[in-house]
Amino acid sequence: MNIKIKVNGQLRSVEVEHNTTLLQVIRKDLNITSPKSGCEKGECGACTVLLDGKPITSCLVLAFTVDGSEITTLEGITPKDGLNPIQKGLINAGGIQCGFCTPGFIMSGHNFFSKKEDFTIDELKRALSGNLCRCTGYKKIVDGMLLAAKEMGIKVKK
Amino acid sequence: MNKIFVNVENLADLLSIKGQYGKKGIIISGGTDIVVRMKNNMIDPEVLISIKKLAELKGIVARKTKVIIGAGTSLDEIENSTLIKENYYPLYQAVFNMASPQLRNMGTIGGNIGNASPAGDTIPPLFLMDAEIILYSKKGKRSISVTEFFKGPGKTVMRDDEIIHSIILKNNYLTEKNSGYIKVGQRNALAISIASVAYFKDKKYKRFAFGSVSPIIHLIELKFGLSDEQLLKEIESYITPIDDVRATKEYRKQVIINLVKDIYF
Repeated sequence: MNIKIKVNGQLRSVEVEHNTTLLQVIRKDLNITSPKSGCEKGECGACTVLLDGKPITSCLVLAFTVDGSEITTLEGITPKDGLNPIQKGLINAGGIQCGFCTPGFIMSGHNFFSKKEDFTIDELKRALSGNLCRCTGYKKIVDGMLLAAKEMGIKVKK
Repeated sequence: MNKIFVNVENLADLLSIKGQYGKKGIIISGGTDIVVRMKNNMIDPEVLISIKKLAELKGIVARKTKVIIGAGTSLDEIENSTLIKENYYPLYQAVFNMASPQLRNMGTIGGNIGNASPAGDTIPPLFLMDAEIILYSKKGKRSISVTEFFKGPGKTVMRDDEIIHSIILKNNYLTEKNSGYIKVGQRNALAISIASVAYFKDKKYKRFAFGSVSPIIHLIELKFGLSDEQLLKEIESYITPIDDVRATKEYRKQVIINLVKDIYF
């Protein structure tokens, strides 16, 4: 089946089989490599992208089912010449070690902050609960997200 | 073997295709269970029918004292519905604690019910709500009480040409004060229930539905004033937990007993 999807604002047309995943399309057909193939069963969150504005694990989405949809990856929320606030925050807080989980965390964080004027730490942690990291122990990822929130003018509720 | 895979965009097409292929026609909604099973070679569907784009099956509507949830409504939408949170608190709590943000955006209530897992978190709360499952086929529509719908793990009364259309919730008095859903898993996010309890407390009686401790879920009504021993006997008569990768049957039993005692006394 031929599907048409809008990826990071660009209309793309791809031929897919019944079992081709969205992650395979993004990485192999479109050569966009920030979403990672981790557990391949929707639990680690390394393949997180936005599907019509909502974070999903692209390893569990059959590509044919999203014909006509809009997809956003980390590449789509990163300025051409520089870094977005979450990327900066994670670097400055030491929230990155091997980096494999990082794009997924950034997509979940980006979606969370895009809907908030203020938030609690528990809400932030819950928004990140679908992403696993085996290096940092999470604290520095949360710290990095808090630096990003500060830069974007989003306040922490007590 | 050539695979058939289609996106359906209206109910009539869905019923016609499901009628044509019957058992072979696997409906995919969120895909969070089916795709995992395909990857593990547990299933190899010849015909995949995606209802992701079928707007008719999505949404939550209030009708007098009832609420109708479309089968294709995402768990995330249910979690964020004030209608559900204020009137059907155990369902809100069940969905709030399911899976992860990503999987709640994908997974649907119809999928959770259709899978008919004894660990399906949306199911025990439906017993407190006297819920009805609305099934459609080319031949027409029928309504099945949640208490009659499940026939065992993975088994329901659905015919091969039927689809889950919607779920009707009644008993809209289940609030944060008198009801809830408590789930025990290995961690907060992304855990499958080891044992769970949906409950409602009134002045006269208390109602429970247990998850993950019996092949079929029952609605249990207990009067006030039972002794510790009587309560234990009642609970034991309804549960037949099993050993699996997540927990032993002894552990499951103890968890249920502890949860019910906390709620009852």
